[in-house]
Amino acid sequence: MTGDDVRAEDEGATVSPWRGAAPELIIAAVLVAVTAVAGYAMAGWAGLAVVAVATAAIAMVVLRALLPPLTPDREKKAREKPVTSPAGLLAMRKSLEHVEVSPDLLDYIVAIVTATRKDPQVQVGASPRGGLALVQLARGQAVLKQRDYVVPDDIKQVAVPALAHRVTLRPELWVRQVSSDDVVAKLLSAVPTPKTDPAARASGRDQAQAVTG
Amino acid sequence: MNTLRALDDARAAIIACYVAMENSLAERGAARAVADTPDELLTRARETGITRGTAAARLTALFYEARFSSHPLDRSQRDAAARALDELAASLAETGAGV
Repeated sequence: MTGDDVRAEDEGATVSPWRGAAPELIIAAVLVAVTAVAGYAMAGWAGLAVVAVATAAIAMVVLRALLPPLTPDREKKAREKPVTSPAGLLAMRKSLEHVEVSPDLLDYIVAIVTATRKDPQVQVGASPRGGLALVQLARGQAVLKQRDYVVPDDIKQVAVPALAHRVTLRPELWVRQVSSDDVVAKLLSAVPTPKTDPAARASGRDQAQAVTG
Repeated sequence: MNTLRALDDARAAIIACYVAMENSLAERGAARAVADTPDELLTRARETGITRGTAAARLTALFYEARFSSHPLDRSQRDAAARALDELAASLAETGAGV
């Protein structure tokens, strides 16, 4: 009983590779066998020629069998529903303007952009548009994290994609395989994030006012 | 006017709680580097085994909102920050005793 089961499983295992195979692959396998026999039988130049032609044909058959269909499946396309409309897309872009960026964080962004201009490895730093891109991307990141305000982490997370391609390194660094991604990442680990207590100075002033008031 | 002051007080109180946490983490060897974000500091404190439990994470989350948003913050959030700080202080005292 158990022996039969094992044998049945064994058979299943030996057969299974062919079960899901495309018919083209089976044809290819047969062609390989026929070619080998024919090539062996004919020997000499004729045999070589048969093998060469057959090999090319087999390669073609296998390639076509393995390629995914070039035209998308019509049924699948019918099932794809649009996720938004053009107006929806514009509204989403507009919604970023409602994401709060505290003045401290704008300072932080300016400091990062400025750092790209001062770095000795950089020939041309990021432009003011780089800073703008960083603000908007950070806002997008905040929305993705379901917040309506930006935090320093948002800025750090998008700074490389926002700025690295806007920075031109000194030519000699190309040879040393230093990428602008590396340079921006290095700057991020050095530019100070906003200080913990925003009121360190402001509160002193407020207290003074409170005293005089 | 009083309500406004209370709101500002809650924000300032949450930030003060966080500053206290940052100071005690620094005393235990997890000082904030200049380029750290609060979450990065939290990760470092966790990795070095200084903080366990959720108190530090809760206080950090409250701090983020207090520091970088203009959301109105109320007494319940201020109390939550104070509770988290107490919890953290208690657990730090324990680990301190253990060492």
